[in-house]
Amino acid sequence: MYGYRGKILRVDLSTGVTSELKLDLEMARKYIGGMGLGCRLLFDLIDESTDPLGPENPLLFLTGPFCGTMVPTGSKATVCAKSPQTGRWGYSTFGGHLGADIKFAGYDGIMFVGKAEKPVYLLVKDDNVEIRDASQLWGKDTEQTWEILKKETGFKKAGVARIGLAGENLVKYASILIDHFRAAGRTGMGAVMGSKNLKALVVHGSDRNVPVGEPDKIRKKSAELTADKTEDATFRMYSELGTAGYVDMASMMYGSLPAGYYGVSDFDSYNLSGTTVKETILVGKTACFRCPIGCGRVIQIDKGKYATGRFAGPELEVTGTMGTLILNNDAEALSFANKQLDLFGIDTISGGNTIALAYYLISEGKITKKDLDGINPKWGEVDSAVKLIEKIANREGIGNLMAEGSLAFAEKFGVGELAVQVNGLETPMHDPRGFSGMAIAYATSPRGACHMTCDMYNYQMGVTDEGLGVESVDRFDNEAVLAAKVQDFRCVTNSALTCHFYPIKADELAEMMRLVTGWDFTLEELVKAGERIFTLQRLMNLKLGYDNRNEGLPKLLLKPLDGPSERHVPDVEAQLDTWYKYRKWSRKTGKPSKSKIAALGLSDLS
Amino acid sequence: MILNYQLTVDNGDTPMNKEKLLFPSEEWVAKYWELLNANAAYKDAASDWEGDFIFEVNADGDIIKEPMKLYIDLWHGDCREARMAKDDDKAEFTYSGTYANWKKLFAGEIDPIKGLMSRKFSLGKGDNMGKIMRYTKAAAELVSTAASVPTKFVDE
Repeated sequence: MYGYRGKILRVDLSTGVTSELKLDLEMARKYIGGMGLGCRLLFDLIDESTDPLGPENPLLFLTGPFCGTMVPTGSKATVCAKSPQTGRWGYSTFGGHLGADIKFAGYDGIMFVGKAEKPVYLLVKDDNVEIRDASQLWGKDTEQTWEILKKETGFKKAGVARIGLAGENLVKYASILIDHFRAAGRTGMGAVMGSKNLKALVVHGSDRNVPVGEPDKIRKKSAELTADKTEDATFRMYSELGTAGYVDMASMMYGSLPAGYYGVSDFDSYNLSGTTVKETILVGKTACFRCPIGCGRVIQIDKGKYATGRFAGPELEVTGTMGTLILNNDAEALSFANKQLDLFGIDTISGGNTIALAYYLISEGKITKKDLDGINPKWGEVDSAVKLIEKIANREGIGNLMAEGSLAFAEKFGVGELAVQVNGLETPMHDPRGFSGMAIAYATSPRGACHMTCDMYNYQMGVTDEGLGVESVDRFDNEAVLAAKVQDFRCVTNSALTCHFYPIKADELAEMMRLVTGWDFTLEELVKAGERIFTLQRLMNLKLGYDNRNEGLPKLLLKPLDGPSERHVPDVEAQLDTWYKYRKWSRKTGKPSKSKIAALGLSDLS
Repeated sequence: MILNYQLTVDNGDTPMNKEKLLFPSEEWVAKYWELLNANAAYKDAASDWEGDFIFEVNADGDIIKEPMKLYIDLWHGDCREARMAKDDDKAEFTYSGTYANWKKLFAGEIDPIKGLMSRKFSLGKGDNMGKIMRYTKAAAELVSTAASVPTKFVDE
C-alpha cells in the first residue's frame, strides 16, 4: 500500500472511545481521498433527517495520497460533514501542515462522531490519542487558542485546527482556522465542530516516511514540475503578490471582482491589491507544507486605528468581501476586518457577504439602522463591519439573525431575492458577468456558490489543459461543457488534494498518482474518477433533499454593468441546458441517468 | 537582418490598398511608435507608467531562425523610443512569444493576459509582476495599437 496509511482514527466524543477504521483501498482508488473519499464515507452515514448540528453528524478530516510526500502542494486536507449552512453536503479544503501531521501520525484521516459533554480538544501524538478538557479554551479566539495549545501540549510545531467564538456559537458559516491562519472556511464546518464541543485538534506526527511507489521518480518529477511551474504567470503572481495580486487584473480587465454589493463597476481597488500590500504593510510570507508558491501573506500594522500587529494578511476573497464589496479601499482597515473574522472564526466569504448585504440594504432603504441595533453602515467605512462581525460571532442582537446567513437575513426583511447566494452559500469574488463560466459553476456546484469546485475564471482567462480538452474561446461564451470538465478535474484535485494555485495539468496529476500509489492510474482513469466523484456529490445532495430548481443566479448578478464586463449577463438557462445534455443528467429532475451511474460504478448508491 | 525591409503588398485593384509593413522591422516599429503616441486610451491607462519593454519573437526553428526583438521605451503615457533592439539592449520587462502567437495576438485571438495565462507568451525572469498587474489595461492598449498597424507577416 503506497500513498495511504490504511486507517482512519475514529473518535467518539460521546463515549470518549477512540478506535481505528480500516481504509478500503478499492474505495480509495475510486474516490482517491480528501473530498471524494469523504463524500463516499459520509454517504452511508447521513441522510435528510440528519441534524447537521446534532451528534449524529460525523465530522471528517481527511488527507489524500500525496499528503506528506514530496508532491508539490499535495499536502492539503479536507474537512467534511453535512453542512449546517446549506443543509446539503459540505466540505472545505485547507492548507497548513495539519494534513501532513495527520499522515505522519499514521492516519489517513480523523472521524469525529457524537458530542462531548463539555468542551474538549483532541491531542494526537502518533498512536497516542487523548481527549482533553478544553474548558480553559472555550471563549478564546483562534489566536489565543493556538498559543495556549502550543504551551499546554509542548508541541510548538504541531498541526492545529481550532474554532473561535463563531464556531462555539454555531454561526452557520463558522470556519476552522488551521495552523498559521489558513482556513477551512466554507459550508460551516466550524459550527459542526462547535456543535460537538470540540474546540480544537492538535496533531503531532513523527513518521515522516509516507510509503510511496517510486520515491526517486517522485523527487525527480516534483523538481521538474516546479521548475516548469515557476515560469507560469499565476504561480509567479501568487508567489510574489499573494492571491490578492489578482485584484488589479480582475477589476480592471475583467470586471470580475464585485464591488458595492455587486452593483458597482468602476470602483478603484488600487489600494487593496497584492501589489499595494507588498509595497506597504507586507513583512513576510508563509507557505503550506511542501508548497513552492507561498501565497500566504504576513502583514504588520503597529499604529493607528486598525493596528493588527503581525498577522496573516488579506487574501483575494476577503479583499473582495471586506474591501470592494463595501467600497472600502483602505488596506489597513481591510486587514483589521480580516483579522477579526479570523480571530472569531468566521468564513470571510459568507460572513463578508452577509455584512455587505447589510450595507446594501441600508443604502437601498430596505432596512434602517434600528434593524441593525443602531449600527449604520455607510459605503466605504469598515467600522460598522467590525461591529457586525462581533455581533455575528456572539449571536448578539441582529448578529443572531445574520449568523444564519445572508438568505435568512434578507428573507427576514422580505427581500430574500437580494441575497447573493446559490443554494444557501454566498458567492465568492468571481463575478459571472466577468466570466460566464462562473455562472454554471455557481449554479451547479455541489456545495452552493463556490469557486473551488470550478474555477472557470482561470480557464476563461487563458489557462488550458490539453489532456482534458479544455481551452476557452471567449470569456462571455456559453462554455458549460468546459465547465463540466473543469468541475470533474477539480473533483480530482480536491480529492488528491493539490492546490488550485499550483497549475498542474491532468496528465501530470495522473503521472503523480501512478508514482505515488503504484497503481496503473491513467489520464482516462483520472477523468473518470473526476466524473464519478462529481456525480457522487449530486447523488449525495439528492439524498439530502437537493432541488435543482434552485439552480440559477441571484437577481443582482443578472443586472448588466458598464465597464470591463461590457454589460454582459450570462444566459444561465442556456448554460444549464448545455451542461445537463453533456452530463447526460435529467434537466427536469437533476438526476444522473441510470446508464451514467452504472458506467461510473455508482449503482450501489442510487 | 534578413527581415529588416519594407514590403508593399498589392491587395488588388481597389483604392483601399494600403501599404503593409513587415513585422518585425524598423518600419513596422516606427509606425507602431507613431500610432501608440496617438492612442488616447493608452495615454490614459499608462499615464504614470515608467519603464521599457523588449518584445521578443522567439526562434521557432521554422519561420524565425534567430530571436528578434523590439525595444520600446514608455514613459508617462508616451512612447519615447521604439526601434529594433540591439543585441545588448536590456529593458525592465521582456514579453516574448513565438511568431505564430504574435500573429494571434495581433489578430485578437488572444489578449496579452490570456497569452501569459496560456503560456503562449512569457515575461522575463525577475520581471516585476505587481507592476504589470497594475497596468493590464495599458498592456491591452499596447497590443491593440500593434493590431492597428497594417502588418505583413513574414510567412504570408
